[in-house]
Amino acid sequence: MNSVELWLLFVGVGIGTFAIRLSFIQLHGSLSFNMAKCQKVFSLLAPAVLAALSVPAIIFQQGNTMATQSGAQLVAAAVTALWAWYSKGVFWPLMAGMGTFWLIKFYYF
Amino acid sequence: MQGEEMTQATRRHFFIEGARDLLPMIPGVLPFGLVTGASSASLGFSPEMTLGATLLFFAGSAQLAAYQLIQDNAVPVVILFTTLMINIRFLIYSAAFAPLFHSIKKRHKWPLAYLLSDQAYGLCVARFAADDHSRKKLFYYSGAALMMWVSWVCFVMVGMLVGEQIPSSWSLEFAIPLSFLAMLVSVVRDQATLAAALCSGGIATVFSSLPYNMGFMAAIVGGVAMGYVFSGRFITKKTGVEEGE
Repeated sequence: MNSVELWLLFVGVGIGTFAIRLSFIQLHGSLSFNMAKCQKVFSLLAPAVLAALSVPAIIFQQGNTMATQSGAQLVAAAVTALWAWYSKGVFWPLMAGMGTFWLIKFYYF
Repeated sequence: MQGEEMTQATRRHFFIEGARDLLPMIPGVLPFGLVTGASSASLGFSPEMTLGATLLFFAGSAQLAAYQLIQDNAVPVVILFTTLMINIRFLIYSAAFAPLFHSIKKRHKWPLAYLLSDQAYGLCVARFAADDHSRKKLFYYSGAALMMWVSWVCFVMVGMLVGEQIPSSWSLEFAIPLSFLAMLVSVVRDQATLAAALCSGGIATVFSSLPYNMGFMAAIVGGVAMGYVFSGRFITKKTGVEEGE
């Protein structure tokens, strides 16, 4: 995408996100929905979207990377996932994963 | 509670209390902001573009998702759909705050709606009762939400400046899927969410080469459907009249 297309995309996402935030606040009283039922779908949407975003990107190589590094990516992902499982955070598992990734990448390639 | 009078001092008091209560959340917000900014730099976005996206989105995980999909050369409509799906949780916050914002002027309503965030919502829920629609809560929310916004924009820009110094051979962009993986682990709580994650990840991987990101979209739909089937099987069904659909 060129920069004009990127700007258009960002503006589109910005408007859409603002519309979601404003929805009930603006239409107070004229909108009603079953919150409990929606919450259930929302709680399933998060793992589905996050898995679709992360799993293929970890298994396959991406971006402008140099040598084959799929192995490094998989090991780093395993470290991140295990760390996240035990600590329940996001930042330190990510740091541990990137550290592992760089260690393997620069040591073996 | 709607029309109560408040002195300037009381307003300021609750505004400052909200802003102050956000401060302990900074250690959680800071690294995420830095990662978002650094990812932006690793994808080669200009500072204006990074700032533009940050201000327009004001939603970190959606911004990272957009970056991931831009890198995958996804079609724009898929990127739009995905980011809005990630942000659909704001619908719940919007519904929760609708009575609180009901009586205020439009020129205040819109900026306050834009400032909705997980953190500001969480603080208000923790500090006030759900049916409390007082001005105190409104000013508390404003303080917390504005503090969150200022912190977020600053941290992303700092992250971008740091990220620009890191050479591309480090493959910093790999931090994006890795942070989604860490988030994924933290949202998998039961069999239903695990089923959704496994199904979605599997479909997305197997069908990753289909055109127009059809594999990606199928993964999300398939994952949610699988999770729904699982939750129906293992959790006893709720009874009750369903309304407003």
